[in-house]
Amino acid sequence: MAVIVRFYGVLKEIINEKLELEVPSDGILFINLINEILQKYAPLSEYIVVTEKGVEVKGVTILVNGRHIMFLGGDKAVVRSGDIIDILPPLHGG
Amino acid sequence: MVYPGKVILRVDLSSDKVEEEELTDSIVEKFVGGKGLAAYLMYREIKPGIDPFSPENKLFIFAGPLAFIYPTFVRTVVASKSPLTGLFCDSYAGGSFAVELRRTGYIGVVIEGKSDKLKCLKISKEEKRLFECEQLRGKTTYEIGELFRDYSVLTIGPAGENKVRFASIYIDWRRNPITRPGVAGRGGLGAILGSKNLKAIVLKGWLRVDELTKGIDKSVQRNLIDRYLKIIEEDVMPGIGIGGNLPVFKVSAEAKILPTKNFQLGSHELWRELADDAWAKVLVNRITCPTCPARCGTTIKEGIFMTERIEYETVAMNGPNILILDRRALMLINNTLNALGMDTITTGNILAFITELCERGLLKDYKISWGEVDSYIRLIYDIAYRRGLGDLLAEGLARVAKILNAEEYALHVKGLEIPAYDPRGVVGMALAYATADRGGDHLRAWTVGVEVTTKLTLEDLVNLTKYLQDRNAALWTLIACDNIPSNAIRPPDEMIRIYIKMLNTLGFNYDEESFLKLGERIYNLTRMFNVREGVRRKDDSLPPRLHKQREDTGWVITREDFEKMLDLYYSKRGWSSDGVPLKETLERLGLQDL
Repeated sequence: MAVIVRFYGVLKEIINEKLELEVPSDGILFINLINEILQKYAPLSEYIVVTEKGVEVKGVTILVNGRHIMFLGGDKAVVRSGDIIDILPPLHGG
Repeated sequence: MVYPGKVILRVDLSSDKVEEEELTDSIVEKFVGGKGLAAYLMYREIKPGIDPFSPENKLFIFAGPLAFIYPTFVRTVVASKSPLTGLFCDSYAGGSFAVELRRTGYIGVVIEGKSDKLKCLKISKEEKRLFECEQLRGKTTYEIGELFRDYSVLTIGPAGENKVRFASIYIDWRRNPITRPGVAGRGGLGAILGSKNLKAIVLKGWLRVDELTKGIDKSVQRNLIDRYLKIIEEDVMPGIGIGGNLPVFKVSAEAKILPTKNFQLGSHELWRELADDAWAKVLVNRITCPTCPARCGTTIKEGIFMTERIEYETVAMNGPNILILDRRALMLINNTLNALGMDTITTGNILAFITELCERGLLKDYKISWGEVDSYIRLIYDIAYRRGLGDLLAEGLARVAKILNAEEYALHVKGLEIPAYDPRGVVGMALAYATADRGGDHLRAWTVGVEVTTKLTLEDLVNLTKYLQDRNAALWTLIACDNIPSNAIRPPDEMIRIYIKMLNTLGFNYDEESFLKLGERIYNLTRMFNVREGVRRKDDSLPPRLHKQREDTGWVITREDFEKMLDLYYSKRGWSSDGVPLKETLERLGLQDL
């Protein structure tokens, strides 16, 4: 099995709707997973970047198995095979 | 101080007195205008525990100091103790009222007391007086706007007269309007005017801009205007789209945070029928508020249907949320609600709630099914005129849910029904809804925009929420248009620096740090108003549905996660673990005398 990453809205224009990424059997640090995705899809860096401070976002929401990543350890969360990651775009307006 | 806006007009409906009052320099320096002055006067003058419909309640109507002097500062704030929540409420409307109010030389109008007969207030160079207008009883917002076409008009519809607890206040509603009509939609402040028997305020200013700007360095003023208009053109106009925040619909639907079937789902397969592309095909006009180049007011015409000011929130809450995916039906609902004078967000929530109860067999003697446009229209009229079930629903969702023992299906925070973004997807909005000073509101902290870069930590989210709440409270003293920072495609930092410079040309002395502190002062002041009314941690909560996994995506905000957010938020705010501002916090903000 793999980690499934689902993208929504404008992010789907950069990446397909869904990615399936193979991860080691003991999982992968969330920050490393994001780095892998950014290496393949550079335009995503308009919304998500990895700096010395860690993963930084502009209005983007990231959920793992339905809960926000910040409640699961943020950058240091371990993502495992079978997990579903949802990445939602920023919104304009209000 | 150059600032010419220190005089308010006090209008006592009980005695018919209309009197001028000058505010002190120290109060104006500390609270500036708009929300700041309204919140200060509310805290000082509204006694705790009073019934919002009693003559003791007051309605505060304020412009910002920059209105008419600089472009786009056209919004009017109305503030009062809300009949829907029993708490502090401020609501904002575009249109010409703030500009015309500034042209009278007044910065605000305070409405107090209660009249035995229906009255209007007229403010012009020649007269400032109340007059009886029984013949206007029952008139719609459009009819009142049309009757006083030569004036800026702030009015209520039949729903306000009948004290529907979510009746709104309308500015400049008329057929074929020249300037964009505005709505102070939230919190039922139209019912406050109704409770006082004040149908409308009609206003015509007389001061010229040079009479308001004596002492201002004209070259500095010109330079600031030019820089600001350039930012609007380059950063804001591309985000406005066809106006009415309608571009948000597509994003919400695609991100699956579009309320559907009373927030049970996050999108609908037919959402494209209501997306901005679809509305663009039937867009016939775009109009704007005085002094603003943005033209965000939409006029839509399709067949025999025509409507003004169709907006994202209206479309989402009265569209997919009650399973209506038909533009003409939405136009009909929009027209009906705006004519009768009721909040479209609250109404959409209530219609969805009542339909779900019927579907679940929890409501005896009443039947309505998802998407039944004719039934919904009938129910809207019944609410506005308080007939049958409508009389109960006119009390607002929280009261209705309690009476029907159906609180698990009611989507509100502190009695204010939540807007059209499901926070189970955009989790940052959960804290924003729960801690908004007027109840379930998205405008105080729009944490899902591109304005600020954050790390994926609880601390960054909490800091962002607090920063936006404070910043917007400061901006609403001016009163800057919400559409402009929130639609900007880049962070609005430079725009806000220009705002502060504009303010300082009037004799104020703010920098970025003290301006943000001004917002924090106001946010704590409104919190203290609510604390005085009994608000504590238990009230900073989410509707039960948001703590359950959504069936289409599995997204959830667990109670444990939410409480973690709240703990850290209180700590960052300098509030107790029960949500009460600490003494040292009040002292730091110059509120120790509360």
